[in-house]
Amino acid sequence: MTTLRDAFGQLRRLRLVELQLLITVLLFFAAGYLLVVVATGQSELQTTFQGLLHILWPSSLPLVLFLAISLGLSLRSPTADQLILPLVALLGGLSLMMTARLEPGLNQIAFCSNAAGERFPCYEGIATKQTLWVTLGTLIMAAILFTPLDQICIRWFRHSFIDVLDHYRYMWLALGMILILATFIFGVDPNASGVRVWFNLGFFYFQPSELLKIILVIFMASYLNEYREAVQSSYRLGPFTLPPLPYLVPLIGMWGIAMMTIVFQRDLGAALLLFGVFLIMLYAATRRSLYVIAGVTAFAGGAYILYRLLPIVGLRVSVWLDPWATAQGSGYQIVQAIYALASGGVFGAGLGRGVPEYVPAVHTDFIFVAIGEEMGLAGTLAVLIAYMLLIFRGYHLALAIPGRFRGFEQLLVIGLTSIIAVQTLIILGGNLRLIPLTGITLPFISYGGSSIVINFLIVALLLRISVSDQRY
Amino acid sequence: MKWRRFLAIPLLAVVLGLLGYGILLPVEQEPLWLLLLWIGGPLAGVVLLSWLDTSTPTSDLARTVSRVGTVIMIGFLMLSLQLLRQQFVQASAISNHVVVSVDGSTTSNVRPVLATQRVLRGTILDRRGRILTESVLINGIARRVYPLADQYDMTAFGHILGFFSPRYGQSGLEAVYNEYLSGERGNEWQLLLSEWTGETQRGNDLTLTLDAELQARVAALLGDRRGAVVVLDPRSGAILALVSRPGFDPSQLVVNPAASDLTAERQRVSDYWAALNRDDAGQPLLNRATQGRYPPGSTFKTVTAVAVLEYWLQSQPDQISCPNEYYPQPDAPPIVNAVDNLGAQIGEPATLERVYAFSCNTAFAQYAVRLGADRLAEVAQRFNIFLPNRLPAGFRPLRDLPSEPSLLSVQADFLRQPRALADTGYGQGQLLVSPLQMALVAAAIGNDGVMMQPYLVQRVTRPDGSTIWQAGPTSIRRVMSGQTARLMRSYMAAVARYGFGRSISQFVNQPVGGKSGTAEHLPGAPPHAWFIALGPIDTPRYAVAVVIEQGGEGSGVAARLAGEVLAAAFALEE
Repeated sequence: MTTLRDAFGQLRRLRLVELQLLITVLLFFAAGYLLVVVATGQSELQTTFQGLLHILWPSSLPLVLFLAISLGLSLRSPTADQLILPLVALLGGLSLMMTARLEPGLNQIAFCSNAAGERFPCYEGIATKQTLWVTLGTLIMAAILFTPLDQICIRWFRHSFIDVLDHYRYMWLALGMILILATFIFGVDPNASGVRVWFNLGFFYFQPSELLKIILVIFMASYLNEYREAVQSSYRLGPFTLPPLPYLVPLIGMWGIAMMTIVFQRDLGAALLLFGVFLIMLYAATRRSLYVIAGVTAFAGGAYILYRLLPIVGLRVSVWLDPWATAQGSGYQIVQAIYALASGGVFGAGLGRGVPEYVPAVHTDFIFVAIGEEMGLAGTLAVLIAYMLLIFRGYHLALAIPGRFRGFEQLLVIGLTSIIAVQTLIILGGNLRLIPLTGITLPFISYGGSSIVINFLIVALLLRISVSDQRY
Repeated sequence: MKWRRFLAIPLLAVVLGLLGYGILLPVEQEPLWLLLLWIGGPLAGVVLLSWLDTSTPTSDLARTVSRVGTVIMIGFLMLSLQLLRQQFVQASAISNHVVVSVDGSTTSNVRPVLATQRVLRGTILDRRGRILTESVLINGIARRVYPLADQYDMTAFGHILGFFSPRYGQSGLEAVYNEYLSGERGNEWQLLLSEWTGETQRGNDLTLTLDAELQARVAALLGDRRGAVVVLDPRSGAILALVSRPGFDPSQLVVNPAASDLTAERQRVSDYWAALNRDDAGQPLLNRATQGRYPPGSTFKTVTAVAVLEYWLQSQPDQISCPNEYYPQPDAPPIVNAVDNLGAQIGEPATLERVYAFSCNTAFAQYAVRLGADRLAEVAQRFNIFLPNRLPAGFRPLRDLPSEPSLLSVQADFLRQPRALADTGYGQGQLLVSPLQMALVAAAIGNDGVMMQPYLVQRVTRPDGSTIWQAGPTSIRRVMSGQTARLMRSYMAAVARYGFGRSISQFVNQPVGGKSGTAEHLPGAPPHAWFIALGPIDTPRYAVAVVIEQGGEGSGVAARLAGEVLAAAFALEE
């Protein structure tokens, strides 16, 4: 009798909303993936169960892992947020679907040659690799959610996991700077993009600036939380009321150094992202719109200086204002992207029926355009809505945390969510010509190991913080 | 706080107005739309923020985070608006947008081109069912092939079929009948089915009135000379041969996707294109038979003669003389004949038949003056040779191919001068006539005075063989009475029997008729040689017009060519 009651008790704790949504996402993915594989002629459609499974395996592995994580959360921490996981699964599934669709298209037109002069398709195997990255990201997420990190951290550092992140902020910052500086020495440029910001780790290329954005958010959250009262107050110097300069200057200084190194590497997208996240966190902590105005003004000045100094910035701006003028040169990519989006129309050409591969970097920076061509306005708006829900879920999470006792976590969640929000806005703004294009990935969807792994790390941190949230 | 709420409504209206106006702007004004979007988006943000501030927040953090959220939402809203414009409002305008940059390179959407390569375009067949061009699939890419290429010189067929190239566009029937050939028209249901099932889209077939064998032989007879030949059936208007030289080979403009070296294959095609467009190539892409306009020379005396017969009282056909010089206008130089002392050859009394047979300029100049400008223009217009101010807008003599209308004069009031009227009467002046139109003049005489609408495509059929539409003989109008037509045929027979065109009779074993023409076009340059002919002359089955640019005497080279063409047509009947 007691065992039965226990079993019912367990069942009641089942995270049904999340589970239902995840199964919906899995079905959506399965249907889309089958369509893609059959439409691009990679496989014949076999309507037996084994036949379908043969096509879907192993690409559906990450989504199955999501289900496992959901069940695991039901057991361990049923109060964790139930919407974040399905939204991430949806975007991750879309990523697998689109890379599987783009690989055969790219293989037909993009050829590289090696030192021996042999020609081979440049993007052979990106679908398999992307499955690997998403699986890896999911596993990392599971690891952060299910390993007893708090116990480990208490044993080693005498602090809980979150406190370790909080207290060792200068160490984290130093680590991040070392990583960035190391790219100056060891950095490689595997896909000839003009910036050497990757490490060759043998089995994959890692982009440390991706990690740096998390580190800087941790640092900032910790710093602002510690000096929260100080930065909110004003600083009096004689008759003038000034911002609390003694506290702000080191912050701005350190952040500035990090940004300078990235700008020096011409990784403008990452710099823009960090600056945006910096402003949001500063505003959230201080509640002073003056800082935002000052920051935007400083940004405008800095952008103008960069515009005059760096020819690449000038080029990006002129391409942004009139891509048609250089449609065969520097404007080629954006012009092709405009054509692809417009050809999609409202309902799209259909998965596997368009030709998005003519847009350069369509599997990384411009993957949204491929979605737009093949799934149309309906698909692009759906993706935008998914991002909005994810972002607002993140902010909602921050507001649910009692700030008086857990201010660090609160600011951390705001910062991490803002990373996703600002990064999405920057790359989609670039794709859709709202702002000059800067090379940066679309979170969860673009092809690329570092980006996928880091974004899953962000989600893992969000979920973990939501786990320890005891619901008011 | 209250003033803000009152301000919000008009502000919102302004925002909606700006965005609504901007989203409809054409592609060329994209920067203005972006500017409006960047004004409208932040303004909408201000409105939203003012509304947020009026609701009581639970905490300070909730207020700041909701403001941050609003800014991000505005960002997504702007993205959505841009998507709405690019994928819905202006989608078709953007996807069809073509840009020519400063260096002359053209940028356009590659997708329509790729879509055409996935369509199995329809087959084009001649009147005997021989395949002139068809599409085959190679590696999933549809490609035009020309099965007759090993049998005939394909340059003879270039102007009719036209080329079909993803790079250079389309011409000829491929362009005019593109919607039928691609299947977009006439077969909508099948198109919808193939769209859904992913089957290869198939186009509709064209059956022509053309005789491929005759077309090839006529092109060979014209050889390397620049010029044009039209052969049509006067009873129906069906075009049997339509040759323009120099020609081009449409198969040379097709890239073979199965070629071992694709780069070299593409180079071959672009070299051929460049050669066609060279200044000294003689405009091979121009269809001289329908688009070429020449002074018709003495062949136009046929039109004047018809006018003379139709206005018998005013022009007194048989009260005529053929002086060596004729002064229609005292202050202008006289009109002379091509041959001295032509009057002696014609003999006394001169008749319309004899002055027509010996092509007497001074006689026809007198006729034109007797008729007056209005009557001559009226009869010419019956033949669809127009004064420029009477030309119907968008008039095309032949609907199946690009064609130019023929003109009686370039200036509307040219014929007001007696000298100009007299010149026009014997085929000079400012006349500009296409070979097709001169063939139709002969054809109208051959068809007892009724001019038939010329046509080249007789049937459009679906891939399953059912007919979409069929063209049959339709008359344009009665141009002259049957009596006039009979008389004209006897005059044309006289030309071939004893007049300045008798050499045509050496080549044909049946009685034929015709009229030669030697058209001056540039002082000092050799004249264009013309000949129009009907054969057999009593019940004509063929109307022929021949022009050889700078060929010399019409009664020589052109008469000979017309004879050979008629002989070829007769030979193919057996």
